[in-house]
Amino acid sequence: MIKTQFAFVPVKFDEIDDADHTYYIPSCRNIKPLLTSIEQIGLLNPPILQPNNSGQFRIVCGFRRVRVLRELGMTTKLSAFVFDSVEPASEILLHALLDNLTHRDFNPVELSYILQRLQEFGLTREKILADFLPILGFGRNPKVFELYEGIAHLSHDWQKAIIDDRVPLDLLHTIQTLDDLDSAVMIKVFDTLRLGKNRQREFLQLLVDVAQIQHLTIAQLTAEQWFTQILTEPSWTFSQKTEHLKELLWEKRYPRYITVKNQYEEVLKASQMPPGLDLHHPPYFETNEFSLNIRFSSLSELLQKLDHLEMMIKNGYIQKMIDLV
Amino acid sequence: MNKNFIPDIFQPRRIFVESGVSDLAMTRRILQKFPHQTIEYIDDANQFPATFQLGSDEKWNHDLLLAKQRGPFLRLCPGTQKHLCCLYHNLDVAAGCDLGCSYCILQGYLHNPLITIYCNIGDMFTELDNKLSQHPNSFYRIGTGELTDSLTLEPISELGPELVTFISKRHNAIIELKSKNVHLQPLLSLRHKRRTVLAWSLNAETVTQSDEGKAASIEARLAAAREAQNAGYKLAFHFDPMIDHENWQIGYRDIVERIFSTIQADNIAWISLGALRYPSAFDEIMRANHPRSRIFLGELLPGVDKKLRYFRPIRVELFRAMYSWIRSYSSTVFVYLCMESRDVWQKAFGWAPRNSAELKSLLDDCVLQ
Repeated sequence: MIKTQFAFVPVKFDEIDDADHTYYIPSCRNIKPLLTSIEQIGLLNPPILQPNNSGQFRIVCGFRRVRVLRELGMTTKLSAFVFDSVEPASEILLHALLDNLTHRDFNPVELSYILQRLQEFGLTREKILADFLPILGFGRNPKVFELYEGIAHLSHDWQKAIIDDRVPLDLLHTIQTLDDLDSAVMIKVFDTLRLGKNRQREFLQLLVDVAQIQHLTIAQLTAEQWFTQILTEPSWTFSQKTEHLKELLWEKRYPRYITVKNQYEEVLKASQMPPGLDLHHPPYFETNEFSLNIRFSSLSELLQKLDHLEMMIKNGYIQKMIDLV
Repeated sequence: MNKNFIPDIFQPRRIFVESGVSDLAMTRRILQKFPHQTIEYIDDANQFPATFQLGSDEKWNHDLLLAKQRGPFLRLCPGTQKHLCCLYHNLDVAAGCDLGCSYCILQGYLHNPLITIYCNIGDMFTELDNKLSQHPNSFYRIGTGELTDSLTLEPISELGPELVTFISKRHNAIIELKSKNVHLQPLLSLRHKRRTVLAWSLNAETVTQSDEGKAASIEARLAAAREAQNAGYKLAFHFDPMIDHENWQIGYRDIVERIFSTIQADNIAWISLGALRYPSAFDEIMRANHPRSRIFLGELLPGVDKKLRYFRPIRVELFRAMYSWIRSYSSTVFVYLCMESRDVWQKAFGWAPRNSAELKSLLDDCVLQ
């Protein structure tokens, strides 16, 4: 509840200290529509100000409006709502928040800065969880707080990717555990391979795990020759590069499984199975149930395929496959 | 870690009491142990998680909740599809644990951050009595170690002696108290009639030190087992989860050797083996809770039950080696696999029970003798 009173009064433009960012809530939005609106019909919604200790006014709400007025040279006179208190207060920040919420949704980066500002105002985590997260449209969930709080500490590239909805938010828990260099490498890998969100999840976990298995950082791992060669191979498409990298990462992450899988594929290749005869190993070789699918359009074709299958049994191919599991 | 490390007795930071159990004897008994602790009374523990928030520096399992068990205390182990199950019954006397092992699946299963002790034990004994009386020809192997560690809360709840005494008077049940802790002193002088199995979960020393949180050291667990043996109890050991780690052969062989140099084989009811496994949905939670653990870097792949398990040949190798080491000390101790397929049994041990019922019967025989 805001108890502070304010009045609607004329203010000289040069008395506004728009470098004072005490209540600034960052906006990553295009300013052009606002500029056009103010240019054509003037300022409809006056800013809200607060006097500061140096005899000027700091902006509570309306940073973008003041900026546009300045850009348009409309700096002669201005009426504004002015709070009667001089000291910065979390209640006034709340006012700025509520004002912003009337005309825009905050993106995750903005939300993160808001949480940071609230803490800078001395509000406890519990107070923010209880009073502010619901206003911002969340439940009182500490995990939400932790997730969004961390975004402010990410690099500009990550923040840009978040605003553009190019990375899933659930990935950020892991990203926030990486050091700056590894974090920078990850977003570069995502961008270079143009990975979709599911692939990003898969690649992040693979890279984190393989790096740990090999006692390397992600930066060191991705600087290895096999990795950079694939990443920079000019003749491959993004999806070919992705597939090659995934294959090699799986070899390093699951070496014994991939060895068996490759052995199975070698036996399968050697058996020269004709099209229409498909033999599948159990998923991850977890059970011993193989499956066989035969497609045919005539009796002779069926007999031909059954003959091939018999040959595979006689020559020990099937047994070799069974022995693998 | 100190070779003889024994964890401190759990000291709750806060105690919450559900008003429905505030007058029960067990509640009063527990609260008397914490005379200076502020007690917060709540109406309904089921509503609790919605209103309870952790502070920024707070972790799970620091607070105690005394509550009413609303569902049945006794549950048949749910097993897992296409795997042999020993048809064990879980007795849910508490939920949560203060030991903090990295691989503990309670991290995913439990949805509130408190250690809960169910205080309506009168209801529990009535339920047990009814079940055992109504099915006199069925044999029940019952354990309290599914949702908690069976001994770690013992200094607070003092439930063990009541359970041991109750079961000692029943012909068709035994109880297994499974633990990584050593709080067994009140049990040592009881007339248990060998109907209680005191069991310890064991692991390779390196795994114990890196991933078993505040659990007692292996040395302390084996010393406790020796005390239990001296008190005439049947014993059991559980290598579950076995972890595929560097030099696992040396680590596990060492523990097997230490068991048989400490304990007489004919006092061991059974030894179980199980490899690391957990629902894939818990992977993120467990990694987040234990970012420095390397156990999640094993070759864990999704199984038919959607749990992550080691690639099958790795499991077979672990089990086969353990089986041969155990057999080198005892040809008779019953060794079984927890939640594995017949095929894995066959490959690892060279034989397999025909089905879960046969496995149950073999285990029952171990304690009926």
